Amino acid sequence: MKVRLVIILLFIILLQGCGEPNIIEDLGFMHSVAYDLNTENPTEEGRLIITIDTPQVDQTAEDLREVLTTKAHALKEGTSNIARKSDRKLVAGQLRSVLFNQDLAKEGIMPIINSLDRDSHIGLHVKVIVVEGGTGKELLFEEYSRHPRTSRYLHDLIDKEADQSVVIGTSLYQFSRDYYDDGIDPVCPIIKKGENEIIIDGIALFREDKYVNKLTPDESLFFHMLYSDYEEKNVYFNIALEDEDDVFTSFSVLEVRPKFIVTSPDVLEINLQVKGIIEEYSGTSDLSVREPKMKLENQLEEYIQKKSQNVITKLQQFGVDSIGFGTYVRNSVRYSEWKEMNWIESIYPDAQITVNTEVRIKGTGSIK
Amino acid sequence: MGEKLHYSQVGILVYMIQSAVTLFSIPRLVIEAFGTNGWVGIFILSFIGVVNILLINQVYIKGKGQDVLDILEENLHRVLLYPLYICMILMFGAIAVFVAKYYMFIIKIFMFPHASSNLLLFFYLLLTVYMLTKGIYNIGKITVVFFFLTIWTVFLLIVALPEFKFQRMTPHFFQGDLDIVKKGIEVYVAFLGYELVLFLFPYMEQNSRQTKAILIGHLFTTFIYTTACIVTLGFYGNEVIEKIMYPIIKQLKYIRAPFLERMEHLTLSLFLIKVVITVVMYYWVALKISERIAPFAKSTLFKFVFVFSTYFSLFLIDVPSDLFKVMEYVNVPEIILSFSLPLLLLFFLWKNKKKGGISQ
Amino acid sequence: MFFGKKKKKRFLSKRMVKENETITPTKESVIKAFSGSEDLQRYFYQSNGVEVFYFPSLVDEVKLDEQVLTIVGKKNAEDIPTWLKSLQTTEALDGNQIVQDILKGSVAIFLENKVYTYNVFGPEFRTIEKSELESVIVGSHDAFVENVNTNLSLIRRSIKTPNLKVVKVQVGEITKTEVLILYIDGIAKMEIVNQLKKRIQLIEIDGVLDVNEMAQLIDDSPNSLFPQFHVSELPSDAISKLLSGKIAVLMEGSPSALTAPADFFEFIRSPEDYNQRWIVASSLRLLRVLAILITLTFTAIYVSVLTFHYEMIPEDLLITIAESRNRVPFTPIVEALLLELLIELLREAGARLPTKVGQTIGIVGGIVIGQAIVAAGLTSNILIIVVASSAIASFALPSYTMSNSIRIVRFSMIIAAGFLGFFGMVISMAFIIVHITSLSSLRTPYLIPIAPLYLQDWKDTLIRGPLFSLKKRPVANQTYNKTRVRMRK
Repeated sequence: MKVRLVIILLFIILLQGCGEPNIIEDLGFMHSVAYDLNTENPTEEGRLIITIDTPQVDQTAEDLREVLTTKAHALKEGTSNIARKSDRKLVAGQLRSVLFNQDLAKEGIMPIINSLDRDSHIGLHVKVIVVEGGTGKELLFEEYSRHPRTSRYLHDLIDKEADQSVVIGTSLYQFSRDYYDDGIDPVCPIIKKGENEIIIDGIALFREDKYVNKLTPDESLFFHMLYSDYEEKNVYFNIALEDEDDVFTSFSVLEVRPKFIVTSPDVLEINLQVKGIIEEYSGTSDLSVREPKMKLENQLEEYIQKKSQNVITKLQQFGVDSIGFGTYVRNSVRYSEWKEMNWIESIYPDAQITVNTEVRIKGTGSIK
Repeated sequence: MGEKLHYSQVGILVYMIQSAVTLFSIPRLVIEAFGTNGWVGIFILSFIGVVNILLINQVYIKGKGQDVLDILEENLHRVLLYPLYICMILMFGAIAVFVAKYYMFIIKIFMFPHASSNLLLFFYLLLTVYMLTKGIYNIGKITVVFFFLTIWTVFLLIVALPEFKFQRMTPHFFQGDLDIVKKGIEVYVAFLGYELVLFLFPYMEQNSRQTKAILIGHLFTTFIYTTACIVTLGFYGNEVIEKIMYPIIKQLKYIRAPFLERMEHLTLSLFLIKVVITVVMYYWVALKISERIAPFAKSTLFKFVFVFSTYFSLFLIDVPSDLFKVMEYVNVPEIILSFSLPLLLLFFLWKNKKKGGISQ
Repeated sequence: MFFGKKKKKRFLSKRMVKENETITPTKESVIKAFSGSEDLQRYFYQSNGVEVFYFPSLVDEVKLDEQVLTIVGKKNAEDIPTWLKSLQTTEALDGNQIVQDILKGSVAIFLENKVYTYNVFGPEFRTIEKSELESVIVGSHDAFVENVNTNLSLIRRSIKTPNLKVVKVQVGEITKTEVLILYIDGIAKMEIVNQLKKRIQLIEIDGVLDVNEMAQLIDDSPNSLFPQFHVSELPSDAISKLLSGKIAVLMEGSPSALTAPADFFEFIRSPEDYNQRWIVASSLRLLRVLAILITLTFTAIYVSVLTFHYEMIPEDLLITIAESRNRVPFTPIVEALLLELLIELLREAGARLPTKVGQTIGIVGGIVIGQAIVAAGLTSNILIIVVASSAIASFALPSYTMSNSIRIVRFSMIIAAGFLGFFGMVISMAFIIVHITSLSSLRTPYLIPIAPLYLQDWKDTLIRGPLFSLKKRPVANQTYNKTRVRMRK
């Protein structure tokens, strides 16, 4: 009995001074971090401009957030510089988005991504975003009168769009996975600052970890169809039908299943099965009848085929394999062949990639 | 209730001893060992394990459940026996503390980067000593409870399925830089633990289902390892896993619930009770053998002293890589022992039977 | 173990030890034994030389008057022996026996050199009422009372079989309390019955006042926090336990019955479960399991998340908590312990006070202090919710003793959480589980259908399976007769 008592006492005594408390109100949770390239005086001040945005929890404070910035050569230096400006202990456990400006993204962002990845406090769902024109610093410092917490607004915007629309909400996990996996290049959303808002401006394309170019929101839709299984999104496009004047239709895409067929490393084929409904139709044909419906389907097929082919050609020109053709090629050849061929550089730009589409109109909405 | 281990307890015990800390890194280890689609290699290693278990089972059947230490003492002279015992005590004690320390390093890395791993280990070993004082039958019961408390975590892997893609698994088998021997041993060590069943014979219920239970326990471990490897492979792909120290933990970070942003701290802590069974059982065997040399080993005080002497022997190791270096010295002897001990015992049993046959 | 090992040590004074010796039954010896007990009533009849002794507080006055006092005076000395025979009195041969009988409510009749005793026991008792402690909504409302015979009758009324055996044991060197061990022959395992009997016989104490007290004298690990016997006020509970092969113990002066062997899950079972539809009953049981979990972990989770694991909670909640914590001067652990202590005080105060005042305490404590404490910025309002819900959850358990144990255990979790977060919590939980698992009740494992594993009993553990599926008696009771229900399906 005495032994047990001694053990319990020891336990309690030793428990003191254990662990490293992170008491919630003493912490400043970084919500967004922006990394920009310092172009003005990189050698002396440092190459990077680091800006952080943390929500303010003091109810008496006027501002709802605290934005701090610094210039630094290395990440750790930046963190300690910023820490000197805050009364709270800055922690990264609640980080939700990282922003890179275009200039920095062009130089490669993997060193930063890697160091974020290594920090065990940082989650996998952190959004990776590229800022087009301007810097992340400006974007975070800007007060958007309708959205008092900027980084929250930014995060929710991307989240909603990735869920509802065609933007790809790349997370830290997806970015580094696609970077390391051979046969696919990472992508991420690209945003720009509007007058009193933030606007998503398409998809940023990377070759390995270097930003190459972007796809416009229009092209993004077709990119998305090729990129992954596509379900339950709220997107539609309007096309003008060719043979009749002033006839428009609005097609809402419900479901897309891309299927990749690799004939040889330089000849690929994608079968795209698109299901959707007609939301608007200004023509005179009766779409419940088979003939006009088939005709409309054919027109849509042609349209989608043309558009997606354009996207692929664009990607080939940029030399980025964001859709992941490489993974299909890799899986179709022997391992040693794949290792030898250096597919992305020597074969991909000139590969013959064709898209076949099949459109099924599942409904014509409320109009006959 | 009869103070004997039921076959269901033995089966669960085998699984709980086997799967411990290595589970976190096994997807990486199999890729380092066997290259692409390395999870197939798990089946090969598991088969070796099955062979070993069947050997152990032969000892059980031929010896009619006799205590293996009794068999050894009957056939070996003390001069040979005691050094063997001491080697075994040191080895099992070392494995126990290595597993515990390794787990504390993981906890330290992911949860308390600034805390001392020795301090965490101290509390952990207190729990271990407390369990050791309860005796093997209670440990058997505790194992069952801990099994049910941890098994549901397997279903957390399902959460990762939306990101799962078959193309990441590639149709290539065993390609890339292979390191079959060195890393293969590390993977095989993840299966070790069943050899402790040898020392459980006198405490087991005499039942023909015991063999099946041990095998099912082993196959369940195999199943868990393979599932974990396949899911992570489809989640990350070969190249990425090779760069992640503990792919399973990283994958746990992905889980998100409406009220919980991340769960890895919770599940990682919960694993504590899974790992503790492994640690306790190795200590238990070490202490059981010590009892044969010194009768005072039965006392609680000795258990406490023994456990904490192993603790202080690793006190100065502060970095995981140092620990791995030391661990490598034990891995191979352990594998050798797990094969040679049953063979030696079978030889003795055969000899005894022959002798018995002649005298009749 | 508590009993059996120690050598018999006499702790009573020598004067009292004499009780065990045989002395001649004389008037003087009785008077000497009761010297100083001024409530002893003596009547001496000059007409026939008869003298009667009794305690008015222990006898049924009407019965005594009608059957003894009024008659004795009218009888001649010669008629008295025949009359006594017709009254079926017993002749006492031992002086100590007379003293004991008088203490048990007999009247002693001294006739020249012979002594007769006649039992007229009948003091006032509480009548059978509803149970205060374990209220039942659906099912029998009877509760045990302090009179052991009434309690026995409550059980005998329902189990009409000669196989219901009753063993009488006396406990307490001074109190001489009567203890009845009940079991059904042919169902209960005799080894367990004998063991329980042996343990009760081995108790050496001056007096035992309640079954709950006795339970602590005979359990396997007296230092444990957890009750190792199930004690209930409800006869229906004892009856169903007897039928399932357990043993019941009734005690004089105690309004509850002890049943053994007990397992942990018995404390989350309510006798009402069997009166509900099985899906409803199962859901209620799962709710109680959840209640245990909430009681044990809620506050601890709050403390560990706020102290160590801020990553875990969603941003919205995090900001809300951080805002409400911003003015609090304490660390989360101190804050939580303070509030927990306050709630425990409220509960204890409410339990000791009469119902109406108790309610007022609840309102003052819960609403007024709760409001004020947040307004003063001493705790965050989230913590109030957390602590209150874990307190409410602790009351959802049907067993009062178990709910108290769990509330105490919870503090160890909170403290461990304050120092090491989830790691500490799990270590502390592991200690508790190791302890619970190694407990036993009459050598039956405490966590029985789970550890050791008996899957067939799971139907009536965390859930309550449909009655037709509960064909067998629980393995835990090791019954001779295993089949309970034989129903065509």
